Amino acid sequence: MDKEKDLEKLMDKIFEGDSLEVPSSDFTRNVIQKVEERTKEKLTYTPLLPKWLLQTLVGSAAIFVVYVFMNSDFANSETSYFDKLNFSTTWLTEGLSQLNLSTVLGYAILGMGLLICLQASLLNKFLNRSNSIA
Amino acid sequence: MKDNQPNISAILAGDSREFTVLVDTYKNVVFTVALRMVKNREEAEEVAQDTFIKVYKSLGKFKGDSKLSTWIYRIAYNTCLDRLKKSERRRKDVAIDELEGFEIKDIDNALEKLVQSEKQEMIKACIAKLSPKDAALLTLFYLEEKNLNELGEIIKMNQNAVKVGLFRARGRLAKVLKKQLEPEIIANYG
Repeated sequence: MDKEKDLEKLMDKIFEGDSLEVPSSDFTRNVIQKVEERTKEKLTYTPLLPKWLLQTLVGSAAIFVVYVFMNSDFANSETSYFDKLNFSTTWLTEGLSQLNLSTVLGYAILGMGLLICLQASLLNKFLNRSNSIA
Repeated sequence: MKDNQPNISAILAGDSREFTVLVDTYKNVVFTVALRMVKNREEAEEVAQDTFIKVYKSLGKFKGDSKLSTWIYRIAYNTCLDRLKKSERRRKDVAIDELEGFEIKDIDNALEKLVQSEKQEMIKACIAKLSPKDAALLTLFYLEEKNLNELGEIIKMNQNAVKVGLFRARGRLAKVLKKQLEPEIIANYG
């Protein structure tokens, strides 16, 4: 027991003269810089498609639409374009009226929809949290 | 040192000046622990920086169950262990024979003969020879005056294990010191 106390006293004496080490002078600045870089990285979203590709696609689509309208009956028609459009019997509405789903398939689609909603909300929460601590 | 306590809510709201206060408050202790564990100044600086980045990232999870300092030192301790594990330098404790009472007195007398600066250098060199865990335990206990409970939280051990760990770390440091001070001890007898 005395030995233990002597050892403790010796340690007290040793550490009395001990001091903390000091990191480099630009330590804090480097930490803040790294933190800010991380924040920027987290908040900068890059589009899936590059800008030039998006512009080309939109441009091509616009040219195609103009070309189709110029060369179709629409261009020579005296009536309004909207009169020509008839939504009452499209292939979609006809197709839907003939569609017959079994009860099991109906529940399966419903379940799938619910799972997608759940996953979307979880993903949303996760992204919000990871952005807030960036 | 801890008069200027950082405002956690402000940091969470994105105030980088408050985070600067936090870094400045704890950087010396974190760096000292890192240096004594990884034994290399450059690496210690990197580990200390990583520690503060982790602190910033997970500050939102700090619930205040423990002191902020204890929480930060725990992150620092774990970051050091990760670094040592990566470089496979996790030094194990070596078995050391028990010190005799007269040997403790010998060390004490030999240390008395040294000039303060020599003494400090000698102590630092001896701590550098300890295992990372021993070095962290002694540094946090003596320099940061952390109690057994707080030390337990930092290194994930119960109070009794910390007490035993501290006792052994003291013994190992004394043994290393004795070896370093051998010429002075012999001179004292002469």
